[in-house]
Amino acid sequence: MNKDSHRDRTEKKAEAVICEYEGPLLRYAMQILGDNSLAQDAVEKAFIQLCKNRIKETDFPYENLSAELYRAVHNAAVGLIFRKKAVRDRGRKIPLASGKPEEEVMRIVRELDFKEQQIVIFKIFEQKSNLEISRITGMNEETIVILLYKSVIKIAARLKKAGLL
Amino acid sequence: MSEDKTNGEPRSEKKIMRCEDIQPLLFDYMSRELGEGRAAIVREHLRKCKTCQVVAKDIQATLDLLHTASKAEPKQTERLTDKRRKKIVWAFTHPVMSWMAKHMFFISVIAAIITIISVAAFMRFMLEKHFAPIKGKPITVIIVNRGQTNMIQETSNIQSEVQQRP
Ligand SMILES: [Zn+2]
Repeated sequence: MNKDSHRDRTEKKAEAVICEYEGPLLRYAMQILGDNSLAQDAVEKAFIQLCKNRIKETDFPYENLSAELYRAVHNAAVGLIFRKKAVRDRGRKIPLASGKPEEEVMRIVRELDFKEQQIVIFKIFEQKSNLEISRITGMNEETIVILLYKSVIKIAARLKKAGLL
Repeated sequence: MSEDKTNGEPRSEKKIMRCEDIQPLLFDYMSRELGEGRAAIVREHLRKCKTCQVVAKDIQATLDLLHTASKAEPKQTERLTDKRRKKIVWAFTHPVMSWMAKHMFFISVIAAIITIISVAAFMRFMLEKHFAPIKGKPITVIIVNRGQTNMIQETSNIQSEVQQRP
């Protein structure tokens, strides 16, 4: 097979995959991270992580691509959060919530456990079905229902404590 | 979104009537994602149970706040920057190079180890070639020493033989 034509085809496929998924992934990353530049970092990392083992012409793009990309973005975002926390702990300036109620609510969401945060974002912000969430997270639907309930109750308690509810 | 509408239907109605069984379903009930059978059970329970009514009210208020907060978030860019896109496409078309670029530290360490081993092996080879005792079949060497002729024969180590002679 001609190497250049193979490369061209791969390039076109990569462009198509980026075009299809960058919007939803950036939105998801933004909801976790609350920062545009970090969200771009996370999505870039996710795509590069993906290309590592999934470039065979025959099986790309493939069935679970979306779920895999969301997982990769989540992992990248979690890594970035830890780094961000480490930087903040060293005393550098990282913008925190300004005290507006909406920002306070989002701060509460971002302070949930990663699993809870993931479920809240998918279910409430992205309005994905339990089945879609199950495919992405690998949790069964029963677990998702319970976790969502616990997360919402936890958020409600924190909102009450903050005087927002 | 009906995938989970019938999931869990096998649960008996008696069991599902408990508050702790009803409350996790409130979210799906309020967003009309619950199958009709379970929705009817939740509706019926909510009509009678004050505790679950309070929980449902809290959940609804929380959801409203979450939706408002989500809409008020700074608008995220819908596209990756051109620089990042190029980087990703390059990684797709050059997977090996991309891997190497990502694992530069690891590769550097491996390369350094290989270099050290190669240099050590080469030096050992050179030392053995020039200075090590000659091994192999015995040979005959004639040494002319102060007018005398000495002969070394049938030895396996010429150097030690020479050193033994005055
Ligand atoms: Zn009840």
